[in-house]
Amino acid sequence: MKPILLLAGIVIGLALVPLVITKEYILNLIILVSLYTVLSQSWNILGGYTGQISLGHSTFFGMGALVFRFLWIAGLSPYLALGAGSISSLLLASAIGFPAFKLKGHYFAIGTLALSMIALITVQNVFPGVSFIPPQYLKGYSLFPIYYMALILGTITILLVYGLSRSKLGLALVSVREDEDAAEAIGINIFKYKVISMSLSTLIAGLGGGLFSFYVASYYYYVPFDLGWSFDPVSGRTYLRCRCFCDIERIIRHQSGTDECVDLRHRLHLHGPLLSQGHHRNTQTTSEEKIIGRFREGDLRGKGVRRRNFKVENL
Amino acid sequence: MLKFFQILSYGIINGGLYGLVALGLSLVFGVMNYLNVAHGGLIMLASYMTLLIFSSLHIDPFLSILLVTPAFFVIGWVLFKVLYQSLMKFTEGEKIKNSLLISFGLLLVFANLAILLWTADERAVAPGYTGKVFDVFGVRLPYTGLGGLALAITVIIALHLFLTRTYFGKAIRAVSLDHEAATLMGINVNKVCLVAFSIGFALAGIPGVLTSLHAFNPAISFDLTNKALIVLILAGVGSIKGVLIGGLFLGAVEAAGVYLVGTPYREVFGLILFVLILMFRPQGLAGKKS
Repeated sequence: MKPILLLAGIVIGLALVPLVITKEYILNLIILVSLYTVLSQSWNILGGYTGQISLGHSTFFGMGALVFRFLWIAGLSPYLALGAGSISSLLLASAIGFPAFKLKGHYFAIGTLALSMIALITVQNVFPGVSFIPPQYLKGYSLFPIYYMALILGTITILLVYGLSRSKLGLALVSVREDEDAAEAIGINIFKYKVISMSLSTLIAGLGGGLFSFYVASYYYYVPFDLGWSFDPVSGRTYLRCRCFCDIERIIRHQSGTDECVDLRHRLHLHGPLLSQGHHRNTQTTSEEKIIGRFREGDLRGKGVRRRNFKVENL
Repeated sequence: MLKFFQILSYGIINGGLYGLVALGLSLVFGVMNYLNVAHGGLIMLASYMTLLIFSSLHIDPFLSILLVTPAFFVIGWVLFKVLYQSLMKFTEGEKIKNSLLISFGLLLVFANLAILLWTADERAVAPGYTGKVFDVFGVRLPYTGLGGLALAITVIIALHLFLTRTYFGKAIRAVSLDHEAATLMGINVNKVCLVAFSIGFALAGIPGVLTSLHAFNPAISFDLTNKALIVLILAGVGSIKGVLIGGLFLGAVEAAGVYLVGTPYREVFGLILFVLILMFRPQGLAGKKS
């Protein structure tokens, strides 16, 4: 019971944070941590418990982001769009992911890597541009709803994985990881449990993608499909991303202090891991991206950065 | 229809290059289980070497193979002594993992070294016959491409004959089957591995000459490694004839993809083929079921 109480305490504490701390940096950081928690737990179910090393998670993450973005802009409420994005990830997984279980061991890893490269190239070609949110959304853009969505998703995934680890289903998954032949010998339907694990994993990855899309105001459509999202859950790149994000924060502080025009790109990417870092292709400034947003000096100097009010010119 | 044959012919010309790119990788992987992903980087360096030879000594790129290949043989010899020899004592799985790490590091070093030395600009070697074509019923075949295809087929067949018809080739094949048994038969496994590894590096020089005839930059090293791995899976590990078949097949499939869907999806077809082969014929097109 203790871990549950601990988790409940942490969640309640975090839920109160925005009421007390108005520093955007802290909120951004917690959102990022939640995003990576969701993504890592998604990978953990498939890679950690079931032992299927997937390098194709970026596909499901990206699918969630893509569907979320379209439905959200079409006017659906964010939480419905989130669910739809997650389910579309599952549909994609049943089309390409389940057949991949024909591959075993290392072959599964490189096979899924190839699949995610296919998805990346396809998205780069089908949606070559930048995904913007419409001006009226941008005006109402606030970190609070994103913060709570991130918190809810993070909590749900942790609870889910906690429950899974103590359930019969979790044991079955672990037995598949430890020895497929032995598991089959004691009457475990390996394919069935792999499919269950993959479904849960992709549903959660889709949720993470939706959160990303809700959080980052403008990005190239292919960015959530980038292979980095497959490797991030397994590696320590989170730290690096947070680092570059701090640097950008500092640059913007500096610029807004002198009331200069700030490239909207930087401002928007402030909400996300610095997307251009490590994704050299196509990410440098293009004419589309050179939309200039002007900050109101007072917002940043006087009242702190509680709300981001900036006029968007030429959108 | 003419368009189809035109695209297909380019695909097959490319396929010859893919086969050649995978050749050294396949040899090294087959003989000593070293997954040398730095191979693409070596090919890229060989391209720059061809460019240097062409611009300073004015030697035709196809002739400069005679200079580039021995140079890479020496580089392979040195790198084996310095970096790879210590891996010999490991088990098969450890060898793959450690050599992968070492060579991935080398790949990054090579790519950045090339950017440092020659910048990231696109370059190409342009001898007099660049752009000249040979017309067969309206299908235009570039001389450089035809030369490359002929070179690829010759080199792959020559390596195949070397491995099957000579005494040293037999020793290499024996080592690739079983290190211990080869030792018991009186084969100096260390020496055979050293030479096979150096030959694998020398074989990086030949596709390097071919890539130098088109535009190239330091980033091609990653693409080439990618292609080499796809061909390696297509061919089946350690199969030399399979490399030629696999390379040509990959080229043809990519060409079909370009004809049916469009150039941006060229890579996709290669990857789909890769996944399908992994699923249904993991031993490769030419490999035998183990």
